[in-house]
Amino acid sequence: MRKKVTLKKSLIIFLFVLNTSFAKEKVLSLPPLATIENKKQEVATSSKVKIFYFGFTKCLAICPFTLKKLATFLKKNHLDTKVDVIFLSLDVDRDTGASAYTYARKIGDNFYGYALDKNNIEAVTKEFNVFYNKQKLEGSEFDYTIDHSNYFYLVKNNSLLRVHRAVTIDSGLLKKIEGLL
Amino acid sequence: MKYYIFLITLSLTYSVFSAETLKLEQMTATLKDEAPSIGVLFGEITNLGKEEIIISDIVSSDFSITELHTVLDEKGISKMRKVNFYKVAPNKKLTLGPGKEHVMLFKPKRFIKAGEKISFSLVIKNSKKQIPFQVEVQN
Repeated sequence: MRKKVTLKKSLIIFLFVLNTSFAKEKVLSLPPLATIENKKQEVATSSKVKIFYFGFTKCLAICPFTLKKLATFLKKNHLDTKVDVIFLSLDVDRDTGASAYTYARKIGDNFYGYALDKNNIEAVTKEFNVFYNKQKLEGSEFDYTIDHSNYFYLVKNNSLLRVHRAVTIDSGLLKKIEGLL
Repeated sequence: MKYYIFLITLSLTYSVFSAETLKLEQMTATLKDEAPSIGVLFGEITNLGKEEIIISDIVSSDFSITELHTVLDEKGISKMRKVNFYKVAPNKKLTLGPGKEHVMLFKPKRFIKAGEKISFSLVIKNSKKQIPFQVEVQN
């Protein structure tokens, strides 16, 4: 009886590890970012490690500070030339390719911003397993906000390899990035 | 007797809400872009008094609309919400900052440059008194 329980536990752990390892190395099927709205803008070098971040340009209290903190962190660790940051807007109604691009470029030379159309952003967020929800803000000048997953998604050669909580920009993130270089 | 109670209440209200009972530090306003329509106010507000204070608004004659906001992090999902007030307990500090409580600034009434100083006022609930302060603008 005891052996059976242990076996069951081991099987559950094995399946969990198997599932986690698959999640860590997901090959992405993304639309060509540079050809949608930013045709003439610079394209992040494809062989580099990319950190994807999902937000919206009207966000003034979370997204810009998270990205600025990330920019400082990358520079401090001499990773700014080795890593590109891709900011993808979740606000299909208010953001444009130009506004997302300007928003990201203001943070750093290795930051690239994109605004996709509704179908494409739905497809991309599904690929990354990103949650987002347009939330009405009663009595606010904003009218609405976007609730969203606050994570960094580390990608190399079109594969999603690591996920890291954006609120903790620390040695754990450094390890994850360095492991991909 | 009623008159004395009224006077005592009035003086207590004054002492609770006077500028001396609040310490404001590192107050900054950041405006988005060079021709901004929105901005955000950060800083630290410490309640040095013996009573809880309720901040019902932070206003400025340079902005048409100001709103008190907060950020919730629920299982890795960031959510920004408008709130009606901030409570600051005695000897406690309210930090207005990224990913926390913050004041949204909408529709500036004039062109505001980085480095300029803007006047704001803290509005305390149940008090006609407002506590003025100045903030340097960043871009």
